Amino acid sequence: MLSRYASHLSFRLAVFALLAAALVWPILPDAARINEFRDVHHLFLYEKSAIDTIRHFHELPLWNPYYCGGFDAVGAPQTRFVSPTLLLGLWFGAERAEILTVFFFVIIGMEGTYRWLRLRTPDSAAAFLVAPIFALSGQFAVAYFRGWIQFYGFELAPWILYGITLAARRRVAGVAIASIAFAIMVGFAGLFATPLLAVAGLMEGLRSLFAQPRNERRRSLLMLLATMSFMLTIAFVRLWPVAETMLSAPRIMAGAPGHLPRALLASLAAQLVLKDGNTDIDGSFFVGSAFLVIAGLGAQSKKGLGVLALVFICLWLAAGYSPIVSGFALLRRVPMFSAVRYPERFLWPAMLFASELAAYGVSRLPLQAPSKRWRQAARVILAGALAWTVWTELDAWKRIETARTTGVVSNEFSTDFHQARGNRWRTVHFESIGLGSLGCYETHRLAQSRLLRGDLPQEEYLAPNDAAAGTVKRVSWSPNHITVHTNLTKPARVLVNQNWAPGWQSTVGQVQNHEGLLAVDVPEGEHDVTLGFRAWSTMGGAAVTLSALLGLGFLLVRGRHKGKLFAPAHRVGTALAILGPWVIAGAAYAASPDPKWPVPVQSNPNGTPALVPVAEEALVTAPKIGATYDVPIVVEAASVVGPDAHNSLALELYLRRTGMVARSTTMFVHFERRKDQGPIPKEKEGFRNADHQIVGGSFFLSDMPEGRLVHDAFGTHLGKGASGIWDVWVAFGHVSGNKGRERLVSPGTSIESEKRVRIGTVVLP
Amino acid sequence: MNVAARILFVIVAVGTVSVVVSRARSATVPAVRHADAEERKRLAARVAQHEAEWNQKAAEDFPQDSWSQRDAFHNLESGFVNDVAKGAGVGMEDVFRGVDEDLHEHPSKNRNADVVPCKPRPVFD
Repeated sequence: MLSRYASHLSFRLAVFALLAAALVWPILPDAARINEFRDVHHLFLYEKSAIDTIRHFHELPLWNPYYCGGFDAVGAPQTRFVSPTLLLGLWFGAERAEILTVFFFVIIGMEGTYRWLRLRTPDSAAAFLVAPIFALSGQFAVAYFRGWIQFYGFELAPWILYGITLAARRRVAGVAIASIAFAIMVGFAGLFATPLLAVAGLMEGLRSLFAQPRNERRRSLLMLLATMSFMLTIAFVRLWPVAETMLSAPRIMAGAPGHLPRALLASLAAQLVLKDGNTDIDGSFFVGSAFLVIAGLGAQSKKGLGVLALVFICLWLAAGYSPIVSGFALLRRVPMFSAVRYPERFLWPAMLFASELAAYGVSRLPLQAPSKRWRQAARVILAGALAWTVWTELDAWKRIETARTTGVVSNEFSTDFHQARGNRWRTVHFESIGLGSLGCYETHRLAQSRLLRGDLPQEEYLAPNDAAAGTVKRVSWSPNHITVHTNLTKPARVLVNQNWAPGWQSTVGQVQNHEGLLAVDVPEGEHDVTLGFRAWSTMGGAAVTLSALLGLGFLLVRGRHKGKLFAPAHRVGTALAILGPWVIAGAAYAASPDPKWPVPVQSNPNGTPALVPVAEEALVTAPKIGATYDVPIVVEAASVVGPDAHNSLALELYLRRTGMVARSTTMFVHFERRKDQGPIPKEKEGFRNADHQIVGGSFFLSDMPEGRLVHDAFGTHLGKGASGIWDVWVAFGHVSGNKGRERLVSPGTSIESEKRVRIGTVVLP
Repeated sequence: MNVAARILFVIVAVGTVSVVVSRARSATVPAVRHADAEERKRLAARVAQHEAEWNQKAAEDFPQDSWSQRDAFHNLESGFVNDVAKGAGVGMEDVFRGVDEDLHEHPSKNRNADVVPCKPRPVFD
């Protein structure tokens, strides 16, 4: 009976809507409040400022001046307004739109999972019962708790897999579903999810391809390639600006995160743990033990074993650096995956594939019962177990609501603007009062001018060298347009207290990048100068997206007849529809009038350059060492200065890579109190380390330019260090695999101990 | 499934969406009192009093790391501003506005009104 109902969209939508309503119900009374979790402040600001730019200035949210001194809003990887959910924000306001976005995405996620499962499960009741588990799973609760609304883009993952499978079955609708779902996901700040989806999509594509009859595989492969092409070209409006941003300020992620099987199991099966205002890994991907058992039982077939293998691949990746042979470490060698941070997120695709196993279980297990009565009993037990799981998932939401700290943002809005010192931990409280926060954090380095200030008498002013040339007065201001009236006795440079970026243009004079600050060279006389931002990457990207949508529409119309797209009579039209957007992309890139970002200057956390110019190598004043190791890195020189008034040390190391170095290579920097100085008092310490994998604040040891001298400046605080003489030692090893220290070949001019070389000695008071 | 049942389910789905949307729309927040210019000045003075201490703490926690020091300063400021705003019964906007007015009235090199470009630490995982 359930199968009869479950196969109808109206029934499913009614049930899924009720489940999603039960999920958000405890939170709805707080819909007008904001989450005060730290990350929310900039993530919510991105959305709110986009909405306010449209509402109050009647402009597209192309430039965001309210954070970090201003940046290309479409090119920021974590903005999520380039998706249909922006309409919810415009209609209901940024605060209320968040919970409504969650509500709708959860319904979409359940329906997508159902459809995807149905492709391989003939039993609609089984697919229906299993579908909510993924969409309501623990990581979505965690995402809401932390204000990571962009993670709801993952609810589109089953749609993407669904589209890929259909495409492999030579259905044009599959191409459309996968590519549009992907574009929405990318527009909804799902860029960090893209690498995970690439892995899941590849697995799905390959297994779907090999499930096709041998004589149809060539056409299936072409359909899959077309899908991949449309996924990229429809998302181009977002991908191009983001690529431009990321190239201007690359994201560098170090570390070797890993999870033992027990930790992964706890994240899937244990109750969600909330402590100290955050969530723990336990329960963070909760799907419940009943679901896992049913999925395990569902693997008892040839088909099931294949899916189980996919689940294990995802689990292997989710284990990060923990396994002896780490799939995650191998994956990170691929450029696209080099900045993937949290391996446990591979539990997402693992859960999806496990949903398929669970559907097999619900569908087939009752068939093994000896009688109809037992079969019915088995169905009731399985349905009850899954219903209990859903109940537990919903219950987690009640707990996150009580544990969340919420606040209120002023609903007033000032259309005036100036930069303020700001505070990234409370950024959202600045925008509504017309202030930009120069206090800034993002997951990647963000191009910020050092000339920005939060205490200027006026935001547009003459450059210091031209201060006597006349006057500058603001006429009007909006996020994308600034008009000033200049009265100059000679040509002069006008500085604007915002960052420069490709895409700024001026009606008078020439826009300049003045040490990262937006500037314009204005001729003498009286002028109304309007600076406007319109990045070519966004405009060109939009043209590619539009052409791809047109091409896809053309194929949808033509592809009514299954499999005809690549028939000889249609090949040219199909090829044009697929390749046309790429031609437009190439032409747009070649025709771009925007200047390119300057090559980012690599620098240490203290601002000093990370690379020593070849001509200045002889000027390095740090004591020479010349230590060599089995790993081809030479410690050429080093200095240790301190302790200062804070009991901190300043260290400078000069390193040279002379050959290939493994990505896992790390530098051990150990601070050790000499042993012959008596006991270490209680609450004091005699050892500290400052091991690191990224040197000069910019390079993995493996990525140091070969032959060049790299300057690695860093500090360490020895506030708890016991008084006495301390030595500082340097060695090399690996962040994973517990291979110990690399052999020290020569200590150079210094002394050695336990494969380490001493780079300095200090006396702590 | 007959047409009547389908219509019923559509009504349930649409009705559920309507109820959720309407409950979200009806959610309200309490009105927050605004501080006048004098009060903002007093609140800003309280913030300014602690800045040297926050800078020192940040320098100890993150030696040789300019962005992290500034970020740690802002973290300490953030907690304090929250407490000050709650204590005074005003929105955080008013305290930050007060700090901004203070910085514009009394520009100083030592009050972190300049920029340390964003350079997050590479190990967050």
